[in-house]
Amino acid sequence: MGQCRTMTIARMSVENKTRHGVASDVSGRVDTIATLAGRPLISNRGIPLNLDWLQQVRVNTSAVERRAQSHVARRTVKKDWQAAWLLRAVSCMDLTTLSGDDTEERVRRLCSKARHPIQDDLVKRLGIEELDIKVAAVCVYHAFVETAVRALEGSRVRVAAVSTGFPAGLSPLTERIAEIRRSVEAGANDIDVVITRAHVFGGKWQALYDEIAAFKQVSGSAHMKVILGTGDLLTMRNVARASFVAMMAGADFIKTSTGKEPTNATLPVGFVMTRCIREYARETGMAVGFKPAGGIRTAKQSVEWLALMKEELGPSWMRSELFRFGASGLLNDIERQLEHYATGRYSADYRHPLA
Amino acid sequence: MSIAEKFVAMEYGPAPEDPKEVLAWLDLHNRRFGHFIAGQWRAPLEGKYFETSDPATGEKLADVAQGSVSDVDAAVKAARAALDGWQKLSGHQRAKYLYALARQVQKHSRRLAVLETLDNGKPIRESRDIDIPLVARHFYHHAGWAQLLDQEFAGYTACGVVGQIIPWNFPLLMLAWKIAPALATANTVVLKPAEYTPLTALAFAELCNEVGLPAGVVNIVTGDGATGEALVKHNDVDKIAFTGSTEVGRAIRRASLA
Repeated sequence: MGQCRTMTIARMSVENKTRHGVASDVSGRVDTIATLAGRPLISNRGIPLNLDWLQQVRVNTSAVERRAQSHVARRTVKKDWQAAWLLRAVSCMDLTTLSGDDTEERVRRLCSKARHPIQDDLVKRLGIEELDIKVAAVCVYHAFVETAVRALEGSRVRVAAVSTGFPAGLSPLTERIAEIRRSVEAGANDIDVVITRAHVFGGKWQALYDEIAAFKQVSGSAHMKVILGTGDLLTMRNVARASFVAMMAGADFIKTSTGKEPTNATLPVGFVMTRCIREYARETGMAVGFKPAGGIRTAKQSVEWLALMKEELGPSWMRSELFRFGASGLLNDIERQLEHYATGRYSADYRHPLA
Repeated sequence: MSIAEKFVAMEYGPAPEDPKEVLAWLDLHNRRFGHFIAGQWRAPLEGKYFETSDPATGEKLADVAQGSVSDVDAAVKAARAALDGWQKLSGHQRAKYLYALARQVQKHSRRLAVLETLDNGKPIRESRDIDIPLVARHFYHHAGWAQLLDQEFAGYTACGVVGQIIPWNFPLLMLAWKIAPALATANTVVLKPAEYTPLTALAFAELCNEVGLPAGVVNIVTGDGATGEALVKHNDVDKIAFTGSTEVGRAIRRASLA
């Protein structure tokens, strides 16, 4: 996967140090947000678009698929560890509702679930009161940002808004930028933006870069997650290139999909994107987060994704600062598994409060 | 370590394969195995047993029969008796048995993998993902050859009764790549597994009965070097197949020349 770039890495490293001056230019203290193989990393500030780098991106799709296949068969967690991992999955979750029939009431219900994702009796049985588990964020349309902000006041749960003409991303650019501004003003902490997939198909990297950079600028201090729409991008090479452009343009997170494409977050795509994050970190000293979204419905899947992060990027990417699940039905299944762990019995899924 | 601490550490933690089924199978045999001769379990004629243990824990798994000269002789006789009937079958008919064995290995793959790991000490990942799937594939592969025998090996004849001695590093896999081609080409076999790892061969013997393989086509005699020597020196064995150390190989060569 991307191995053919090894020849150029040495050159790139030198170039980046001098040209982008990252990780060493800031006078005084640098905030480390992650470590990769012992190296401290700062948050992503973006770099100028590097077309040579993009040109050299290659992905061996068969190798990726094979890796994904063996990954699920060879990594597992059981018993206490499984419970701990599932709790971690909860703490990395962007609890999402993005339907045409969303209402304020549904968003408020989701928010109370986000504050209190696991029943008290389970928390007590698991002995995890001190962890005070909450989901990472609640993800809604702009129309419900204020509702969510109010409902989540005082909790550590963030509010994420999908923006920029979600899910197609095809409204006029000024409109999309205004949308981000409105959501930020309404109090959203995270902004999930969609890219124009046509730019990827046409190889218009500069246009894609400029678009994302403009989104980043208007997002301000809110975290920007860039949705690549991997189900639409057709090839792994496109996925990798779009990932790099998004990171160069300053994405805080790269996110697989909107959840509205025919195929959403798959492990092969996850491997490609995490390898891109790894390479970007190695070259620039900056850490970008990852958010798989769509199609992650079972507790087992969440463990597979966490294991993928552990294998490919390490423990820094197993925290909500750099890793999120975009999910709506996942929490329900995790609750069932935790209840089974605590009581030895499975409950029907309708027995748990809706998330 | 509490769940809260594990939540912070995010280690994989141990994830052992459940040995329940295998231990139940061992208990079913009262943790004592005879030789598998002519489709039946036979107690060793001299009544001697030896222990086989789990190298990971040193715990004893079962008692296994120590094959004597007379045990080997009984096994060879059974193989000789079965030879004629086995050779009268067409390639396609023998292939049916090989396919059935392959299928049976697949059906029991998890139990065989766990048993292999318990007896041999190799990681479950190797036995589960490599050894046992390859065992099944060997049987499938040679089932194919059995059907092509007349076309591809016209004019060849079978050896007859084959004595087979296999090592402990890939116990069931070695068994597969000795037994499968021998059966495909219309031989009958007497196989001696390594004394450290006899259990999967004995489990395989059971599968032979489950698929209805004619009695005596596959015989398993367990024991140490002395048992192997008895097999090598037996006058009615037409061919010896051996995988193991160079010294023993040389000794076998000398013995079989005589």
